[in-house]
Amino acid sequence: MPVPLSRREVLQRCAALGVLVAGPSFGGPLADVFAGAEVGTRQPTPPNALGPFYRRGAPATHELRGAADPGLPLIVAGAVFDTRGETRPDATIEVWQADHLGHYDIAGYRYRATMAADAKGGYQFTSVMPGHYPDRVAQHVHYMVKATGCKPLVTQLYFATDPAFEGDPDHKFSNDPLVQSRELVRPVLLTGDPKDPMARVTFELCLERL
Amino acid sequence: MRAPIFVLTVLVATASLRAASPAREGTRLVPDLRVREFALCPDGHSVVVRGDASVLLVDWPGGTARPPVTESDLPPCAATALGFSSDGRLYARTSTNGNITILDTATAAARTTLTGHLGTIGAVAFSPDGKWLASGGLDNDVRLWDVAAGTCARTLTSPTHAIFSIVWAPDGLTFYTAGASRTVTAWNAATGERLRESASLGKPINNLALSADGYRLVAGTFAAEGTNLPADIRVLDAATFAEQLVIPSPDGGAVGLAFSPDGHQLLWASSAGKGITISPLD
Repeated sequence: MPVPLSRREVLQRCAALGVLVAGPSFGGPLADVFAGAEVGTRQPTPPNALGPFYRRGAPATHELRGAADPGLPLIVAGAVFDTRGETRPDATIEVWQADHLGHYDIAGYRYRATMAADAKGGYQFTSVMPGHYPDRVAQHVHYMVKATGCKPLVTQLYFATDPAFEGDPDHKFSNDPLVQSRELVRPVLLTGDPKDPMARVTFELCLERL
Repeated sequence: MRAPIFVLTVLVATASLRAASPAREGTRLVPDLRVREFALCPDGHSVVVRGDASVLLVDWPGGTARPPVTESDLPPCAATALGFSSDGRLYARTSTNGNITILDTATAAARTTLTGHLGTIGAVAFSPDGKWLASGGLDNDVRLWDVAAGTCARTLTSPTHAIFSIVWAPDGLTFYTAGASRTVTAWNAATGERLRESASLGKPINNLALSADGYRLVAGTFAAEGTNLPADIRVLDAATFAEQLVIPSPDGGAVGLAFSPDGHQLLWASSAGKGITISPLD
């Protein structure tokens, strides 16, 4: 696999540093009450590498998975907020990922989508669990999120069930050196018929207001 | 982000130093060194080579390698060899956060920071007169920057793939981009118009180089996952993109490409091989 590519995928060493702004300090259980409700209480989602496989112009769809696609079905849902804690119905969410074998579609737009957030800033899409590929340790879905008056966010979603994290994402998330924030590794809920399970993941996104 | 020059120059050269015979076809410069990047200096007499832990100056065409002792030993073209684009006076340093910093070659002082790209910058190249900087990002954007003003003069939005390499034609009227699209595109620098696009080379293109007369373009591809196609180097007619020659690169994609000063040979290094190979072009 392309060494030159990985060379360009250099670590964003400082990306997650210095952007976290402490919110108002509420002690004890009150912190939970106010978290997310107060202006300025949300912290921006850590950015993560853009990667070489982004393609402009992905189709507007929420169904990345074809009916006959192999791989573990995946449903990702969430909402887009800004750092004031306001939902962003004007947000645009672009996602792209490898197929279940770890291959990106470079010529076309398979497993690529552009979504508009709904009236509550929410989004949801169906896909398959992305595969591993030689140049990257961890399974991931790429995101590019934009909203008026906010800094565009380029990040990636990772999965706590990924064998790359050895069952211990809290301590092993950096097994993939590109994963610089535990926050980007999300829990995975397996649902449905045990013979035909699907994975559900929640990934909320917070944009930094300019 | 690539390490700045002043950091690399203090590293001790560890490559074995040996005198090579004058450049013959099929011979290699620094045959035992795993080359990361290199550039042929405009004086035509030396090659700056970056290895894993060393920066070397190699005589061209003799092949004698010597480690630079201090930063002042490095010629201005070292900036290019070490991964920056330079017009001699200024060089551009790219980042993974979308910013391009223009620095003074002599003092390493930052002049200006160009913001606009999202994510990693794939390539930058100064126009021959130094007035413009063309940049290409993994965000698919190709941008033209007014270097003196520090502003983005134009964003070319039609590309739909990550850009990995840019070269300018010597007349400064045209520049070429290539990358994940597997094609080479020629652009009119004055209007931003897409002049022409090559046929697909089948694999992503990591490097471009243009002969001094502007007539020949070489594109270094690398073996992309899933294609089962080996890396190679394509020599194209720059005006028509007609393929003139294919040079196999069995040890991975090219990490550097340069024409010999007379334009009759190509110097190239591959990602998994050692040394710089000299291949005939005629």
